[in-house]
Amino acid sequence: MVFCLLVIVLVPALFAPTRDAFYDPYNLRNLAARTGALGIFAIGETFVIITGGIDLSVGSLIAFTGVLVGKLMSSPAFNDRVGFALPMYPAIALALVAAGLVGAFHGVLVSRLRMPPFVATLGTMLALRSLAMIISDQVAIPIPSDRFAAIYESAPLGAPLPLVIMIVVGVASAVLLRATRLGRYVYAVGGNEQAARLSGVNVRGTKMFAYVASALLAGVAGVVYAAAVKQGHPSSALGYELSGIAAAVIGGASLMGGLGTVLGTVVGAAILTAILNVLQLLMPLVFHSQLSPSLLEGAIVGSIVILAVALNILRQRGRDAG
Amino acid sequence: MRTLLMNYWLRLAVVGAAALAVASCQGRRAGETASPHTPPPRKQVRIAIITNAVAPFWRPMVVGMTRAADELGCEANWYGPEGGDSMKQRELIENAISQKVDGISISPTDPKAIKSVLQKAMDKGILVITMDSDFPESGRLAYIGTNNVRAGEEAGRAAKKVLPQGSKMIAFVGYMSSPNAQERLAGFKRATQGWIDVIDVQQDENDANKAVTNAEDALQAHPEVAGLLGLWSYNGPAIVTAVERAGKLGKIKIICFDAEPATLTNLKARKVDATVVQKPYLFGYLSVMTLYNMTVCGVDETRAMMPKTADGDTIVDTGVQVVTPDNVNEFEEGLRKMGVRSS
Repeated sequence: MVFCLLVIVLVPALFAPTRDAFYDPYNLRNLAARTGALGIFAIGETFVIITGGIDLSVGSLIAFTGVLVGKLMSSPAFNDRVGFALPMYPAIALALVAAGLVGAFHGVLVSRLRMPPFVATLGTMLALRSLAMIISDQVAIPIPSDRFAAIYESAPLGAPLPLVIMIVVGVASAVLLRATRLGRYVYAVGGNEQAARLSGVNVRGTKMFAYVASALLAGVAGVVYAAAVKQGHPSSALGYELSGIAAAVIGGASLMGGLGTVLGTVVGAAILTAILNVLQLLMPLVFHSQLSPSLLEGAIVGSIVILAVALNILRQRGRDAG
Repeated sequence: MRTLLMNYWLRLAVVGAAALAVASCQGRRAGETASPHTPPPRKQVRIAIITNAVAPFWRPMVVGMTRAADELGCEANWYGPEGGDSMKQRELIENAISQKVDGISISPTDPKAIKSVLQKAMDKGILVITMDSDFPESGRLAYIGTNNVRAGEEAGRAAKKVLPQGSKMIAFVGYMSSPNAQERLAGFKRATQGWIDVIDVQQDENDANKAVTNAEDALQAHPEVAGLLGLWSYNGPAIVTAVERAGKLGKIKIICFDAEPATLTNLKARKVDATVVQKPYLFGYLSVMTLYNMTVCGVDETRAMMPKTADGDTIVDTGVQVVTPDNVNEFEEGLRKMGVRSS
């Protein structure tokens, strides 16, 4: 099904005037990097969605980790003169630890307190955004390091690093979901939490794992995005969690839980990325144009999400009937 | 100021004529059978204009852009990042590079964030100019926009006309960290020195609702204040809302920037005393004109015909206009002729 959608997206790109621009190596490289960055946190979101939860804090966490890395690398509290207080890797590691702790906090709220995930992550979504604003004093914190920028720019073996990170994360996640007991627990908890608990599944631990994974991967994405713009910006990544959820849902995940795959989410992320790109490439031809393509994004992405879920439901019904 | 601008138009017309001449030469050289009477084949020039957000402020820019593109027979398109996101703006620049446009005119959300991508565009032979907000370190070929210090001075002169010496004012803005906010306030203070004291600046993080509560709180906290200054486009309407609620319309003088539809309505109702209006229409129109001519006639040739600063930089100050209740109707008529409703 997702592959049908991929075809729908790619068809416009096959028409002559946009074809060259779309398949231009530079464009493909950009699409790969963007898919990678989106895919990284969409995979994390997929874990949570499979358990029947949702993580709304992802966009704020991306901004928060970016700001934190920037602050740690240049904080006057450490060393104002030199400019860079902490070296790059310790700064990134600390920011990821912070992201992981946020995930653990979600895990505690959702699994111990039985708080609805929507509420728990809505709370941290608001709090983290505000915290990012305070830490950064409301302005972008510059990270003028080429080594840091390379996290987005570099391309080992020809593939942009964000894509490589996504592939590594993706393969590990897919193996975990398919071939380990923890993976089976993730589906079991989302499919029927009561039944899972009765059959001895560690529901709390499983949920804790899903939320920590989502937050950690959001942190990784935060570092990647900060590298792309060489700064930690407190109001960046607004609403990115919805893109992550959209990628997972397009890829066949169900917000009711129990359904979803890493490959589906990755394809979903690729579709979303390609649509927005093709939209800009097509725009001059179609509208000739007093409309910024970004004004159409919401309508098109929204339609595709609804279409994808409708197809999923119909297919499910067909299977049930058969 | 006005003569400078007219001078500029004249020069552009010359450049345009030169462009046609160059194009026709090339046409004759390329096509052997072309007679002098058939229109010369022209290179299809493609231009991308990338704004710092999607906002009503940019409507006149798009109208100006489209008009210039129609007149020149070239292609120009507008791309704006939703929410002013630097990452999204980076992606728009990347896409424009993929499209292999001839020129990009950009208002950077945050210069540092897009420096390397703009460099990439220039490396690939794309002509880059800035508009609305400058970024000289990028190596851009020209800047077209408002001189915000002068805009602030105009606001200051307007304030002096309606407020007695020794008055106190409070200013409102989204982010004081933004260069245009700093420049406008500096210009305002310079023009009102010894006459008006700006006792506080309140920030609302680009949130129009917070702009209203800020103004309400300021009126409560500082009953001695005689006037309020709105530095960003939505601050004007927000201030009017707050002053109206406090029942102080007419007692508090209001000076603001830009001409949102609400500001125009407020001017007609004499709720606002003056607004300083930029010319986004010209940002779009002159961006296309400049990039087209740079593509067809050459960069140096075009720059040679454009205004220069003392240190030789190519900067076009598009100027501002002060609109008051007395001239708001003429101003609106002018906008209507231009094909827009606000500015």
